Amino acid sequence: MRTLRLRLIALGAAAPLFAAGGCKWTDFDDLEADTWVTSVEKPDNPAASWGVAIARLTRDGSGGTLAVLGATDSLYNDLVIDSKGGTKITTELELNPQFAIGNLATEPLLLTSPASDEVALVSALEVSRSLVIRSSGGQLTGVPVIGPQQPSAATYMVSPPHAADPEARLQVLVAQNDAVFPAYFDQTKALMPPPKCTLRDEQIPPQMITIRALGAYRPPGVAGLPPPAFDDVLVLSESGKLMAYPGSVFNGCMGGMVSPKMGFAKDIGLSGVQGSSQILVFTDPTGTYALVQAHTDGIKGRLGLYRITDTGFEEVGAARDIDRLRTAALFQPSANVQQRYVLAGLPTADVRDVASGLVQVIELSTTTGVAAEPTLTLADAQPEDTQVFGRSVAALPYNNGKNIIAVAADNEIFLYFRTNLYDETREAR
Amino acid sequence: MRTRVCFVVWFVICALVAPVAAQQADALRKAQSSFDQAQIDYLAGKYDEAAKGFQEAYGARQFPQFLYNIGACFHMKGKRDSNVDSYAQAVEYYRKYIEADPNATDKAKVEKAIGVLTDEIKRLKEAAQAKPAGQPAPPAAPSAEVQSLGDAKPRSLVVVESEPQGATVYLDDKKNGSIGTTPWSGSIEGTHKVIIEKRGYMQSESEVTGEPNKLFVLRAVLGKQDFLGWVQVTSNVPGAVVFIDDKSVGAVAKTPHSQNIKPGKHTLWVTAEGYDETVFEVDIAPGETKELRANLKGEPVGRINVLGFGIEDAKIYLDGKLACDRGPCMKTLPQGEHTLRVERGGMKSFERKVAIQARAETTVKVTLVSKPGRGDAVVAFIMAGAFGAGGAYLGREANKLRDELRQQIDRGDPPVDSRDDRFQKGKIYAIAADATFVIAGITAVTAIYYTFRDKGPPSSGLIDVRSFALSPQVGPGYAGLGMGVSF
Repeated sequence: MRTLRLRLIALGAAAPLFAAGGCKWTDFDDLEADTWVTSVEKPDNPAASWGVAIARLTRDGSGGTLAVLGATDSLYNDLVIDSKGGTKITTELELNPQFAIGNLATEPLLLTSPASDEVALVSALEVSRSLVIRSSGGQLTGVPVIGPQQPSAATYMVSPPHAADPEARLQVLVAQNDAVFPAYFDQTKALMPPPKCTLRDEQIPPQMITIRALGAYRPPGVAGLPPPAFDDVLVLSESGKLMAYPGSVFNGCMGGMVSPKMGFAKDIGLSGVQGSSQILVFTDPTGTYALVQAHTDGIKGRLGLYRITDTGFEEVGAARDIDRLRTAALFQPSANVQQRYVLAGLPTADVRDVASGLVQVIELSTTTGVAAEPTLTLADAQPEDTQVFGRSVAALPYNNGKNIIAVAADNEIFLYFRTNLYDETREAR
Repeated sequence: MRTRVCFVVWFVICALVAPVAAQQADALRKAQSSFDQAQIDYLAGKYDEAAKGFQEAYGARQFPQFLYNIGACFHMKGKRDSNVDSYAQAVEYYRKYIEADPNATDKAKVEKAIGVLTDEIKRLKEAAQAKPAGQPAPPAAPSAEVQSLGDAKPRSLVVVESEPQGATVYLDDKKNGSIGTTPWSGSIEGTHKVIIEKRGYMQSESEVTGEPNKLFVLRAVLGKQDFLGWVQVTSNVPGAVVFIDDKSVGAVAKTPHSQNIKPGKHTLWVTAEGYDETVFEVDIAPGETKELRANLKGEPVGRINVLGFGIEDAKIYLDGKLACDRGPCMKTLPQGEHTLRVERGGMKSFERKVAIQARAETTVKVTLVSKPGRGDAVVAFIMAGAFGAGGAYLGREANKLRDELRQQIDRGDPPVDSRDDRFQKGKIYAIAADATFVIAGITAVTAIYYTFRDKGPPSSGLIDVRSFALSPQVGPGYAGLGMGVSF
């Protein structure tokens, strides 16, 4: 009995010791502050599938701004990120009441202007008409595009002058099926009737094509002449051909159709589905390159890097097959142009046996092409099924010259202020 | 079974050779014979003859009881016949009885009878004077007062004689003190040991059974024993106990006391409750008489008597020392405050301060209460353990999440986002762990309290203080008052 009592006393004495050695819950606050990634949840609004597309908005300054789309009950947001990593939704605009565009496509065409703090959303509008909604400075402006009812591809490009407008301008070219249509940002300088140019491939007789992606590049000058003041157009056809067309197609073409520039049609074996295949163009001292991201409706996807020369396309390295690839964005973590990566979004890929999606950060080399293995893989540390992490990706300029990665998941945006590729980008950290 | 006889004569020869006093024996035999016949006549309602018999017995030996018996015979005759003369004779003999034995234990009762009968005589005489002349007196019934006295019956008698006379008589034990000296007469009920002792003679011990309506005569012929000494102990406190040579065997007598004693050195202790002790060292020669007088001084001591249900299995401590290995426990203690503690397995201990008063007995009746079960403490300890284990589990989970997050944050592959639900979960675990630990601590403290708290009523004790019942026992004859002997 005495022994039992002593044991009970010992147990009783041990309990306060347990209490004394309890847990500090503030450790988790500290850890939370130490995280490299900030997750931003959908604001309180009726939109569903928030983050269906994201794009860089501002190019410089303290902090950064990201354009975010919600699909159902179309919503546009400016997500402002301050220099310390704090986030705030500053612009919240419902698109349907303003532009009557209904719901957005599953993979909407949201373009980032290569030369200004602007994004452009290309959306179907009504019969034979689409709409390019420009966003700049918290304001949305609709630009009608006559012709395409279901745009399948679009690109910013510096369009050539035409009779009504002697200046080359950064505007949007929209494609549907085999034709391209201009979006004149200044409607007062639009050609009338609205031009349309049907693109054909190089074969004789020329064959119809189905445009799956558009891009634009500035061709070099020929024979010592200065380069032209406007861009040529890159096209990825459904049949897997990468072709280049003269920039003049923006304003229509003689006879209503045109073939690719001589030598600029290359069967690259990459075929894409409507909307989300991409041609990402970059230039460095070694030349101009087109990174083609293509995928089927199923699992297969592929990345290929091509140097655009005076005479055509040169494949750089081998194209990489990446299952479940759906979207891509170019990314430079620093000012070092030799350090370039592609952010490859695989929104249905498995993470620890959960189909939550991931993003591969794959190195790009102008000599070896797309790296065989990703340098970094981003995923939610707590993966959830149908999270569709990586359904849209963006490289976001942040805090005056730094770049961070933004990844969209279902109703959630992840901002990577620090990764193993780059150090802390937030101030006071 | 003894045959019914009026007189039983029992001679005890205590000495090897003892002379017989023929004259005294004849007188006693005659008294016995007359007593026996008188008893028969009384039972037959022949009160005059019975009274005559007792008168003859008294003539042979002057035992006061015979006078009472004569009075009783006349009392009954007067009551039966409403006879004034008989009543008057009864009164006369009752008075003689009281004169012969002024210390008679029934003195008050006899005096009451004298008063009632005297009134009855007066009443009868007045009634006789009030009746018409020439008419016979109507039969008068005894008054209610006479009736209330009941029937007057002759008494039995035990007579103790010795040769030589003047020996001290003890009943059962010398410790009880003497009841008188020979010749001694009185009533004894039941069977007793009669001890007869006289200086210079051998002690005699005989068994006596007192029976109603009989005269029992015990005669002891004491053998001379000149080689013995004699000790006579008295004290200023009557009834003080006397120890001789060995205290462990107990007291041998009460003062005043005298007895033969072997020649040589002896130690005698005389003490009484509430008094100090006097020690005598004596060296007695053959035939020498030592008279010892103990002058006891009152000492401020009292007595504690611990009683109670189940006390026989309890240990009693007084002032921290074991006083009795089992109860009940009676101890003499100096006057003042003492600590009494009673312990018994499975029971709550009883402890309290007891003020002992001089020459008073403090009785403490202890009621021990069972120790309560500790089930509530056990339950509380189990709960504390469960909470502690729960807290430990939650704390471990919290720490596991914290370490995992720290590791992943440091590694950055994959980078952990700020809204990772493990932060919230870990915080909840940590808070829950701390809360559970606190509850465990509180429960443990409660359990410890439950372990040591004194639940239920305590053991209790009722205290009763009474002065010592020291009977006076004073008197030169020391007739044995308070010794359990009735006359």
